[in-house]
Amino acid sequence: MFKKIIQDKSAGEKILSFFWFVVIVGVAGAIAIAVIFHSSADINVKEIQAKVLYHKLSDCIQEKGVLREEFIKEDFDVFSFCSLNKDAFIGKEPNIYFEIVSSDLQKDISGGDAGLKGDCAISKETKAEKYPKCFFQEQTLLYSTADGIKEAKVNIYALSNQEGEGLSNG
Amino acid sequence: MKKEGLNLIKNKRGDNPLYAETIFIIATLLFFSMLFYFVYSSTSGAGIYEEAYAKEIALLLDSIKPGTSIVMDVNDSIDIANKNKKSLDSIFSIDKEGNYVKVSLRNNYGYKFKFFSNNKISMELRGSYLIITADKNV
Repeated sequence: MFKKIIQDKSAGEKILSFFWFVVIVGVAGAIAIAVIFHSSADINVKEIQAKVLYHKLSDCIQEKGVLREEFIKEDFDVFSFCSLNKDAFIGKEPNIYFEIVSSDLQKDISGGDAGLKGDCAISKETKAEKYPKCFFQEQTLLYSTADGIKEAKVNIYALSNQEGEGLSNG
Repeated sequence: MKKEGLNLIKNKRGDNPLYAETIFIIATLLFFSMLFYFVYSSTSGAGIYEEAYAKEIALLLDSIKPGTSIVMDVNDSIDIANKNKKSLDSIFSIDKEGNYVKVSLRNNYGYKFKFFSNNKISMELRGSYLIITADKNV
């Protein structure tokens, strides 16, 4: 029977054509799936935006390791002094959050959605694309008082969960 | 007579190996042309560029210091907008109320991304360059 199939050229060609068809569909399907996955993937800039916010706050409250006098004052308004748009942190679903905390100076300034902070801790431990990304550091900064120059530990925490939005009417 | 007619039906051109091969080659070429068109349109699509530019500009606006200007080469976006017959004046815009950067390279479609900076921003398209200037908001 096997010998007959080999001898029967047209039957062999049919098997080969079917095999080719399966290979082509397989290759095309794999390419199409890869392209769909690649093009539908988000350009995730949450971590970069969190770092940008951190550096903006850090550059704003200190210069060359010395805290600005305005920051130490009680009526310090972080939004106007650091050129932050208040609406972006207070409006509907801000998707952004920051904290400047210093126990030495008894300062606790924050803005945005504090509820995202817990989600950020999860995204540090697991790979979670839809979760916020955060960046924080503790800095030891100098400030001058009537008694002389002192040190203060300042924690700056910045978080972003910003996702863009497609527009369907331009 | 009836049997002869049946033979004629059975003996179609498809039994000719050359004819079958030709059909097969044409089908394969058609199939791969469609595949390459799909890959090309997916990877060079305006949507990807809109998203990338909106996010890049928003991050620049967040990090730019007052009194500075940034010159950005946006040649790719202009090519796509021209292909889609989109007016160049409305490719890049800022929604000051919502603090959004909007990029639209197609008519009726676009992408927006929020920024948090409160600087006074102006954007100007000069040739294939986008000039972003930031000043302190008074």
